Amino acid sequence: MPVRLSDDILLKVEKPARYTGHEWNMIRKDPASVDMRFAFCFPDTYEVGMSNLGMKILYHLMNERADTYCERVFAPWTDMEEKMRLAGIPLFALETRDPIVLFDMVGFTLQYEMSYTNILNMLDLAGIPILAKERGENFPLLCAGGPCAFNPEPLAPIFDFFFIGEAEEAILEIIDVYLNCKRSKKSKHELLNALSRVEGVYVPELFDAEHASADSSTIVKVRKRSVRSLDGAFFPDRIIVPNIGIVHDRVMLEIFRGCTRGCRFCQAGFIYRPVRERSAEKLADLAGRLIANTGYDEVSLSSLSTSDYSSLETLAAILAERFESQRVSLSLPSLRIDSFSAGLMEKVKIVRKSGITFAPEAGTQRLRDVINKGVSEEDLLSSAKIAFEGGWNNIKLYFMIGLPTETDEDIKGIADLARKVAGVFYAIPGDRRRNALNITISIATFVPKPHTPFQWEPQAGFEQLMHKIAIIKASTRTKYINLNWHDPKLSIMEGVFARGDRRVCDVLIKAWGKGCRFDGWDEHFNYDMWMSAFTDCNIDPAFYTERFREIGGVMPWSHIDSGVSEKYLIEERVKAYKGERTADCRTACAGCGISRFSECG
Amino acid sequence: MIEIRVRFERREQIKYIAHLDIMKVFERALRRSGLPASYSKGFNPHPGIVFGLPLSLGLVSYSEYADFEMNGEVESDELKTRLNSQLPEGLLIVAAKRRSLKDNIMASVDLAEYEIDVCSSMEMGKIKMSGIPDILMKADVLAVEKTTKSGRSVVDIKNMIKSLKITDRYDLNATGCNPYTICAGLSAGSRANLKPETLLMAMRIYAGYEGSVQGIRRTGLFIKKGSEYLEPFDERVL
Repeated sequence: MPVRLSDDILLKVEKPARYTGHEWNMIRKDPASVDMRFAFCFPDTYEVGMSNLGMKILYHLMNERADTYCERVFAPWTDMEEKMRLAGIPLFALETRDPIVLFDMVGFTLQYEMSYTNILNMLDLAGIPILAKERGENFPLLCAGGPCAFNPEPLAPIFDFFFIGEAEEAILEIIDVYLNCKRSKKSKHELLNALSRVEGVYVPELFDAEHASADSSTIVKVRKRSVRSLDGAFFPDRIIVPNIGIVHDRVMLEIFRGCTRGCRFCQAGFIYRPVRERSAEKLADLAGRLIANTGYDEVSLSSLSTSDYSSLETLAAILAERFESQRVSLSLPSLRIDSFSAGLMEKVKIVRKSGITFAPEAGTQRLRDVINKGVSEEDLLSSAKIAFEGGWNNIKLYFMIGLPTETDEDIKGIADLARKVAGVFYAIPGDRRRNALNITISIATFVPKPHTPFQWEPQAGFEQLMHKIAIIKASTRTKYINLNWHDPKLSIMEGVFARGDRRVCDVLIKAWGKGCRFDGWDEHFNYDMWMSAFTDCNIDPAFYTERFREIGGVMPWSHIDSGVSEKYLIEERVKAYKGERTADCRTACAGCGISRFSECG
Repeated sequence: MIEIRVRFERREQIKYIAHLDIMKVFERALRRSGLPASYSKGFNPHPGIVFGLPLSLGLVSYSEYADFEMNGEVESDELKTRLNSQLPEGLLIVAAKRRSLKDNIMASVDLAEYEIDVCSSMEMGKIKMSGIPDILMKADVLAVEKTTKSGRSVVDIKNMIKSLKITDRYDLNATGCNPYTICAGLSAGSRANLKPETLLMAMRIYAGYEGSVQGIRRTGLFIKKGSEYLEPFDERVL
């Protein structure tokens, strides 16, 4: 039953270890001894997927059950795909090399809209029919979760069900329901009905998108699932250690979930509410066990805004002390500019090799207030000074273009800020800083996302975006500034799928059929192929990205409830247009609505 | 500071991993073992492990070497047992010995022996194959074109082939070709290094060799002392 991978194939592809498994801490079970075989599919390469924390959590969680074997599947790179198709090798799971078409359930994690063509390609490689209606009882049940599931409609014709929210508890319930139905020989339809009763599960077949209520207040909603407490929630104390380099070769410790800052562009900040922290004691204990079980030399504290963790100083001190002798370093990505302090830097051994990143996101205070990124120029400059005096000379600044109310003034502000940061560097006496300065400005295109106050906004068009980039280019022609930007065309495609409906699924299938895959990779993204897919389907992408959506109107995701009220999103949008800030909700509750369903921190 | 040299095997299951990644696998295994490794100084401290010679991806070896620097009293056997319990399938330490000489394994390796299983074309009959070692060893010059990062260059590998022998091989799966094993001793290390693939290139150019590779194994590493090639566990080089 397992597929045979000969040396003739493996030694002729890039990084054969992507396909061979057998890493330290890989779970080994006898497939014959379990009732549920689950194929956890990450629609990108091994190196990207193995860096994903959610996958690690769910893989080890599901495998704690004696009746379940969860195995991993990643998207084969193009060279391997070619060889697999030639040799007739179906998509297989790493652990057993069994073809996933034989599994009970196949689950995908939706992390990024432009990974959707990889999903189709993986299904095709597996021999699983892409459309749900074409799959009878004999194929695995197909499900998907992750942040993009908060607008599942572009993939609704494909998946049997979606899971919205945090899966730690629900995935076990889902497995129980599945096994019960399997034992009592229920039909697929009956199974889906039973699953739809699990909180957080959305079954597209049971939702009539076409005739849904036109009034958003009367739609029957699927509410997201949240775990009540993180300390009580599962977190693995041993994780798989890949044999080859991956994006994140370190222990990732999730210190809290959610965010209280309320930046208006940020979907994660809205869909992961409320904030729930893990206790410093629990984290220190987990860190110790993970380091001992993996042999990694770096621990990274993971969250949306690490400096907001209430016991950061305590935790940092405990970890620094415990790991000093073992030469394990601590890294803190996601530090906010306004909380970066010399004190923090001192307590923590921040790895200095790679440089420091700040995300002002907008070039002027006015625009930063509009998007509610409450960070001032003073904050940025004083943080930069601390970093420079601390030995950093490589600094990366993240900005977005195409934000609501943006003008050329705001765009020019980007280069101004970079120049001021350089000014700070050169003002420091030469003996108290490194010699050369390197500022990288990284520009991303703003993509309005569902469940945020900007979900109704038009996305900037390609011409407008290139105009903005040209302005920045012209004003950053200095030797110490390195400018790069994400391809706006890719961001526009992302925009279609972020706020698309079921119709864009046709475009997705067409585009994949023409050969689109690994769209997130520069070398493979083919805009012309995508555009021809749109033309073939008679759909204009600008309809999804550039039109101004009616406030209060029904959206493709109106039946998905993130816990934050629409009323609140509308209020936030009004404030945005007035340039008014909303404070961190730890200081004052802004009434977003999440407290109706969960306890706020 | 205690220095211990180990000999280890690198088998089928782990042959798909490149040398630099294998080094990291050892580093993590060492950390997990809790053995008192000695660390380098600086911003990025890493454990004191020095490997004999990189092994190309796809090759298997029954005789690889590494020198470990320990920051405390550790018996060689203890290092072997504890480290083996943390090494993934395919990596196995088979022997460990204390060493004290100045030169570590990376600095001292001079020779590597390989076995290359090939399937030669039907035209390359036994006579032709058995004549190859003579042709190469008696040649004045064996010029081969090498492509490196800096570009192409022509290298004379004549003095880098220390021994060459071709023997019959029994292979049930060989159809339409003749199975042989090429046993070669090639210069290795920082002073001069010849890869088995380059030897095959020379065989093609100078002896008209035609065939495909079924597998390559490294069977030994050696250190030159005087006119002898010694095994790295020989007392004279430990």
